[in-house]
Amino acid sequence: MRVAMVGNPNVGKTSLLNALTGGNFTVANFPGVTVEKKEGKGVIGGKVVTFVDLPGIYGFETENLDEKVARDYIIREKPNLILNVVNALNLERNLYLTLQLTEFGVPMIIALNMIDEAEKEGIRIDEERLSEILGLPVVKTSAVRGEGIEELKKEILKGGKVPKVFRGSLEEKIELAGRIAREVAKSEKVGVSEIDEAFDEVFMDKHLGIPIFLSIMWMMFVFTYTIAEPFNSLLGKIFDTLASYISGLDGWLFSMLGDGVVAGVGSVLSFIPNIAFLFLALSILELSGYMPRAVYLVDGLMARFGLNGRSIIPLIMGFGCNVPAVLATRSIEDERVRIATVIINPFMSCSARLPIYVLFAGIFFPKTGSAVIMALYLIGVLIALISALALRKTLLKGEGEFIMELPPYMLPSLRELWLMTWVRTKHFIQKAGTVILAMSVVVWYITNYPGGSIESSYAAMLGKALQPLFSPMGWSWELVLALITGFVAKEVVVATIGVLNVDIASVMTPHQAFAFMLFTLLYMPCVATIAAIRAEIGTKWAIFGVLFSFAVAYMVSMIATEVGVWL
Amino acid sequence: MTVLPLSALREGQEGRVVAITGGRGCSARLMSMGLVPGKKIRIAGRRGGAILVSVNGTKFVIGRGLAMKVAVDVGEKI
Repeated sequence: MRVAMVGNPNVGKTSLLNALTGGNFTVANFPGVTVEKKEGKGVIGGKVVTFVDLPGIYGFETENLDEKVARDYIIREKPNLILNVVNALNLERNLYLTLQLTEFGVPMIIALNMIDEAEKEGIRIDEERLSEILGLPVVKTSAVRGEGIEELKKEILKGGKVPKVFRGSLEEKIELAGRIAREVAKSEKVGVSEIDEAFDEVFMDKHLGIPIFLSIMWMMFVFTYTIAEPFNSLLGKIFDTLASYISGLDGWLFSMLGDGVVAGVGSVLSFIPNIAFLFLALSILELSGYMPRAVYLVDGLMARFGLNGRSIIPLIMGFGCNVPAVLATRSIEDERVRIATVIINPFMSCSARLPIYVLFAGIFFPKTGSAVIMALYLIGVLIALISALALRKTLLKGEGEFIMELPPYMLPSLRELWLMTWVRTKHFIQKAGTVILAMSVVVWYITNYPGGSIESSYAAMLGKALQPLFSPMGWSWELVLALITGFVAKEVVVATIGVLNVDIASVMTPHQAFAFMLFTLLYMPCVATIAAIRAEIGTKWAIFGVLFSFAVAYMVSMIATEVGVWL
Repeated sequence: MTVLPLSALREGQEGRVVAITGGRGCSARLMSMGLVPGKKIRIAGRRGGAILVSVNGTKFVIGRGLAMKVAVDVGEKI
C-alpha cells in the first residue's frame, strides 16, 4: 500500500512521516529534478505501508515545480491513498488545497495536525462535522507529541474514502473553504505563537537584525571552511600519497592513473568535507526557520542589483569556495535570479586565489600588499554586482517575484539534518565527479605529452599559441601556461610558475602584475566550479559562464594594463 | 475607500485586500497562499526591498514586484 502525504508547507508533514514510520525514512530527489522526496515504510497491523512525503504546496494552480512534481506523482504513480495533512492553526487556507485534491478521485484521509497548538490558541474544530461535509475521515493529530497517531493508522488501514468532488474555479473553492472553516471551527482567532513573535522581534529588528545575520554568516563561514579543514587536508594527504605512489610506478598507465585519475578524484573528494559541512549549515538555517527572515533583511540591498535576498548566502560563501557557493543557490526559487547568482559567483574571490595574490603582491607591491589584495576582493564584489545587474537587464530580464511564508521556528531533528546533508552531498559527487575526472585526465595528458616534461608539452605549445592573445597585456607564454593550468584549480597557477622557474620580477612591471592578478581573479572558474555550475543550471549556462567571465577578465585586465601605462 | 498597491503602505498600516492585479498565475499563487480579496492585511515591517505582511495570523515576506500587484483598501485614514 502506498500513501502520498500532501499538504501546505510548514504543516508538520515530516514530523508526521517520522511518527508513522518510526523514523524509518530516507531522502532522495524526485527523478530529474532537485526537489527532495522523503519516503519511508511503516508496519501497520502487519501490513507494510509506504509513505511518500510530497513537497509542500499551496495548490495546483500555478506552474511551480513543486506543484508539478506533486501532481505528476499523484497521476502517474497512482498512490492508494492521499493523506492530506492540514494545519489546524490555519484551517481555512489549508482547505483550499483539500478541495483541489478531491478532483483526483483518489481515496483520502485528513490529518488535522498541530491540533494541540490550535487548542492552546483557543481554536475548537468539530472534526465530525468537517468529516460529514467533505465525506472523508478526519483525524486530529499532533505529530510532535505523538497524539492521534494510532487512530490515524487505523484509518489508513481502512483505506480512506473517495471524496465528493468539488469542482469550480479557485475563487469558488476559496469561498467554499471559508464557509466550511466558519462552520466547523469556533473562534478561529488569529493565532500567533508568542515565542515566534519574540524571536521575530529580535531577528528582524531594524538595528539588531543585520549584525545578528552577519554573525550567523560568519559562524557558517568558519563552520564550512575552518572546521572542515582538518578533514580536507587529511583527504588531500591520502590522495597525494596515493597519487605519487601510483605515478612512481613505471609506465604511462600508472602515470595517468596517479597524476590524472587519482589526483583528479582527490581534487573532487578534498572538497567534500567543505560541501558536506556547508549543506549541514544550510539545512540548519532552512529547517530552523531562520532563512526567510535573513532574506527579508537583505532584500532591499540585493534588489538594487537585480538579485533578491536569497542571493546573499551564495555570494558570501563564494569567498571561501565557489563550488559549495554555487550549490547554495538552490534555495533561490526564481529561476532567472538563480542563474544570475550562479554566473556571477566565481567573481567572488575564493580562497584558492589568495596564494596567487600573495605571490605577486609580495614581489611587486611589498609595501602596499594587503591594500592591493583587499582591492582585488572589492573589485571582485563590484564586478559581480554590476554583472548581475547587466544580466538581469538583458539575458535574464524579468521581474523577480517572490513571496515566502514565514515558517514557525523549529529545532531541526538530527536525523532529518543528516538525511538532507547526505542526499545533497551525494548529488554533488555524482554530478560533478564525472566532469572533474574527465578534465583531470585531459589536463594530465596535455601537460605530460608529447615531451614528457611540461616545457615541451602540448600545454606549453598551447601557451605559446595563445600568447599573442595576451600580447596587449604583455604576458610571456609561461604566464599564459600558468593560467591554462589554473583552470584545474586556481592555486595551480602558483605551482606552475614554480615548476617553470619563472623569475616573474624580470618579465613584468607592477601594473602588468596587477592586471595579471585581476585576470586570475576574474577569468574562467576552475573545473570543479564549472562542474557545479553545470550540475545546477545546465551545460548551456555553464558554457556561457565560462565565456562571460573570460570576456570580463580580458577587458578588465586590458584596461588595467592601459591605465597602468598612462600612470 | 482608498485603494493603494500593497507596496505603497507604511509599516504598521492595515487594510483589506481588494484585488490581485497581474496575470492568472500570479493571482492564483497569492490567493492559494491566503492573500485573498476581502482578507485583512497588516504591514508588519519593511526595509526598502521586501515587505513583511501578516494575513490571518500568517506572516509573509513579499518582494516589491509582487507587492505592487496587490491592491489594498486602507479605508478613509489618509
